[in-house]
Amino acid sequence: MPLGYDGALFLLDPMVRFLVIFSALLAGLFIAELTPPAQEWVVQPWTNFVAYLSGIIARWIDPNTIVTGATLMDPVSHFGVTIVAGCNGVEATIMLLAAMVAFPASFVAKAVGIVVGTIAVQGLNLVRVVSLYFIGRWSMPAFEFAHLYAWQVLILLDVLIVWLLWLRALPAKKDARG
Amino acid sequence: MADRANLWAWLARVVLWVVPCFALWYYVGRLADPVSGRLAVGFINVVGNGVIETVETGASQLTFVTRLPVGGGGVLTVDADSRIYSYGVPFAMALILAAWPRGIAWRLALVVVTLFPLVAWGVTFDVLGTLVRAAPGWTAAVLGQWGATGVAIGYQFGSLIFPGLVPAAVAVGLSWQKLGR
Repeated sequence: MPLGYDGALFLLDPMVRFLVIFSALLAGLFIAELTPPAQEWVVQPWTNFVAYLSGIIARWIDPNTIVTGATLMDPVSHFGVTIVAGCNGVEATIMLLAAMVAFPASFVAKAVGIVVGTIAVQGLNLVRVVSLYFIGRWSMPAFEFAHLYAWQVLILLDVLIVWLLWLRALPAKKDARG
Repeated sequence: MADRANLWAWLARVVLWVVPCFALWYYVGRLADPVSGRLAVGFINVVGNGVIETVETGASQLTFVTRLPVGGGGVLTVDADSRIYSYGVPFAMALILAAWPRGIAWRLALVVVTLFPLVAWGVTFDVLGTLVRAAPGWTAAVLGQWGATGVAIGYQFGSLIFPGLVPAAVAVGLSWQKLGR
C-alpha cells in the first residue's frame, strides 16, 4: 500500500520533500521526547530496561560486576557507569524512524524497517554501554574518548547503514511515465 | 552503488577512512576554535543581551568571560569543549572519501565548513545552559521562563542530534549520486 502525501508537498522535489518531512518529524519527535509525560512513561522506563539488560550482559562477562539500579560498578577499581537519558539510544532510534517514515515506501516496508532497525540500533547501544563499562575499568582517558566521540560516530554509522540497507531492500519504484 | 556488495565495500572504505580522519580532526580540529568561538559569542550576545565580554581559546577548551560579577570582584567564566560538538565532521569526511564522488575537494571543504556553525550552535547553548543554572537573576531578567526552556531545547538538539546528524546529512547529500540507487 503506497503511502501518499497530499497537498502542497506534492509540488516539491522528492529530495526536498524528504528533507522537509524528515526535519519536521525529527524535531517533533525529539521535542515530544523531552516533555515530562514522555520522559515519565517512555524514556525513563526504557532507560531502566537498557540498564537492566546491560547489567545482565556485564555480569555474564564478569560475575563480580555490581548492578544497582541503573549503575554498573566494578568492586575492584570502584569504576562505575550510570545509564541516564541520552545513553539509551532513543535519539538514534528517533533519527532512524524519521528517516524511514519520511521516505516514500509502503506502510509494511516502513513498519518492518522501523522494528528491525530499532532492534539493530538498540542492540548496538547495549554493546556500547557494556563496552564503555569495561573500557572505563581499564583507562579513564580511553573511556572519555570512546564515550564522547568514538561510540557517537559508531551509533550514527549504524543508523546510516540500517537506513541504506532498508533503501536497498525496497522494491524498485515503477516509472509512472513508462 | 547498485547492489548490496558495493554497499558493504563502501562501508569497509568508510571504516578505513574514519581512522585517519578522526586523527586529523583530533589533532588539528581545534584550529577552528577561534572562529567557532567568535561565532558563538555573537549568537550568545544576541540572545543574552551582550552578556559575554570575550572568549579565550585554550588547549582543550573555549573559555567565555562574561560580564556577570561573582564574589571577590571577579566575573563569571564558562568553559566549553568544542570537540563534543564537532565529532561528526571527521565521520562525514570519511563518508565522502569512501564514496569518492566527482569534485571531492569542494565537497570535503563544504563538510569542513559545517564545523563552524555546528560548534557555534553547540557551544552557544552549552554556555547559555550553564548561565541559566549559575545566574538565575540574569536568566529571569534577560531570558525569562520561555527563553530558558528554549535554551534547554537548543542544548538538547545541539548536543544529541546536530553534531552527528548535520555532517552526516551533508555528506550523504553530497554523495547521493554514488550512494543512491
